Amino acid sequence: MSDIRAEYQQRHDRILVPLATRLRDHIQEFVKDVPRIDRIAARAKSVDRFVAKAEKLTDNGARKYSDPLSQIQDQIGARIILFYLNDVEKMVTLVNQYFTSIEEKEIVPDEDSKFGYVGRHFILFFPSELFDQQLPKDDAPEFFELQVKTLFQHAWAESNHDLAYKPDRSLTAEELRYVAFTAAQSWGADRIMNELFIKTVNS
Amino acid sequence: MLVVFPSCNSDGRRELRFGGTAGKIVVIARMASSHRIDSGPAMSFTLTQIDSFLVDTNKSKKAVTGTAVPLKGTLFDMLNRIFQNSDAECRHDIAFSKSQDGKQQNEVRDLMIDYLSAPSQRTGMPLAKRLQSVTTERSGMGLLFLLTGSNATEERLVVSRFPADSAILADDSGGGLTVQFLEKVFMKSATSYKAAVYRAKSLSSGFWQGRAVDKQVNGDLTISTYWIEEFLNSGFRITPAHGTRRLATYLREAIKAEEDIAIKESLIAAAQLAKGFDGQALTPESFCKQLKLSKEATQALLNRCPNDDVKREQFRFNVEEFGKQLSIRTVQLDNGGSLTAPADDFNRVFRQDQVDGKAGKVQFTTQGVVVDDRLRKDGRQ
Repeated sequence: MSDIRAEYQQRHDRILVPLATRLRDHIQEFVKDVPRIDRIAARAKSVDRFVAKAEKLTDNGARKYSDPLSQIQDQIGARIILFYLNDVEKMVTLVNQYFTSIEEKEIVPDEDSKFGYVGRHFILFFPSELFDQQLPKDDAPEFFELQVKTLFQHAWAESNHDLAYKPDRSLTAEELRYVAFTAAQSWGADRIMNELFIKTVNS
Repeated sequence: MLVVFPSCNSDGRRELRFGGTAGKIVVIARMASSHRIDSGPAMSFTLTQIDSFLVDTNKSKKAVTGTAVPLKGTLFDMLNRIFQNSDAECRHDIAFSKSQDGKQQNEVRDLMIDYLSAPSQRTGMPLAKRLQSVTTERSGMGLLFLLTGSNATEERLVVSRFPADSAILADDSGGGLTVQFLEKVFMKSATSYKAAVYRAKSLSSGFWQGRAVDKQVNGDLTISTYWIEEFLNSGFRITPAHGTRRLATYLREAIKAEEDIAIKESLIAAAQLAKGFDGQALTPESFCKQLKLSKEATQALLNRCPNDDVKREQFRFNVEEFGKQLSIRTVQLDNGGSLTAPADDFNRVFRQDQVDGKAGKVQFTTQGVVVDDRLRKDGRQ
């Protein structure tokens, strides 16, 4: 794994960090006329997180990734944060209009009665105009991940990721209920804000 | 069906033996000189398996038959040239479509991965059957070749289809002349095959994009939906809106930056004519070529492209998207005058005022330094 760490570190510093900046600017250009976007961000996956993912095992103990540098598709992740739910489908349409995806999914909790992570995820080809002699295409991954979320979906996901995935201990049953409660609050807040927005626009 | 020619001869005929009992199949290698390739650096991939399948039309209900092709001899030499030269010959950037429910899955890619994992007649047969299932009477019978190999870092798969033709064989070897009608002849010429090439480091995560060519249709930039969409379940790698927006942006930037008035006018004229390309496959390079732009105007546009891939990447031109990004506004007056400028700049360049008391009468004013003043006659400069 030390080879993977070193290889990824090199790719991270030399390719992924500048490519993430270019990608963010590229997406900004494509959505510049779209209202109510809170922010657009793109980041290169950190070396520690990449190595942790590369080391993941399957249920039967085998390595999940035989060639992590080729197989891990979120080495660059981009995010579009929108004010209201109403704008999500419009943004999804726009993404499909200007980008080519090999995957598009709406992530919702497994059961209707549960609350948790919500978001729209895409695996997209990098646009070829992002590459040049300084940033050659051959050294870069083929894909990046794009997430489209509302402010509340984003806020909950970030806090949840920070609090709920601690390596030293798992959350207790009560703490898990706290997390589910905040997810439900975010879900409700999204809907109420959206309703207010629609009423305000139509009045 | 049986192949009748017992051995390879000097004009490149080579036999292929399929299962069956009757019929004649001849493969003739006839490569145009411009399509010959040299051995050398391009030969870095080693061709390790060739499988061939006789694919009829979907109405024929015939079983697909196939045979492995030996890795030596004249037929191998011809197919190896196709294999080695595939990156250069296949010009259309394509990508597999995701599944209907948005999953990262494509049935044709799955079949290719199965084949690449263990290349054989058995693993290649599902691809041949799929081709037969989408082959109409119009496309007719064809010979499908699956060519696979690798270099130090990548696997490569070339899928190629030769349509069936008929021919007359003249043979004077016995002292007299005999002629024979051949009902199934497959020719590899510059104008008679379809192909697609895929290469990737990882079988599990790669092979999502490739390049394709269709030499059976007119023009370098045309490709049949039968080959790309129906058989390969793929589309162009960039969307119509993306490719069109990119071209319009480069054109707009070139018009704005260009100081030579003749080049600027030429680029403006190109923007005005662009709507005629609606629905057609284009690249920035072919856009310049088809409009016969001067070398200087072509350079002014292509210099805006950040790399060679962008200059050559195909997309389907979308006139609506082009209009959103770049439109040229021309106002014609009843006094014989006309005014032209990029639409988003028009009101800055020309000031428009109503003329008092004259319904519909307007006055345009503008200021600037005259950089060119020419008398143009129709059809000539």
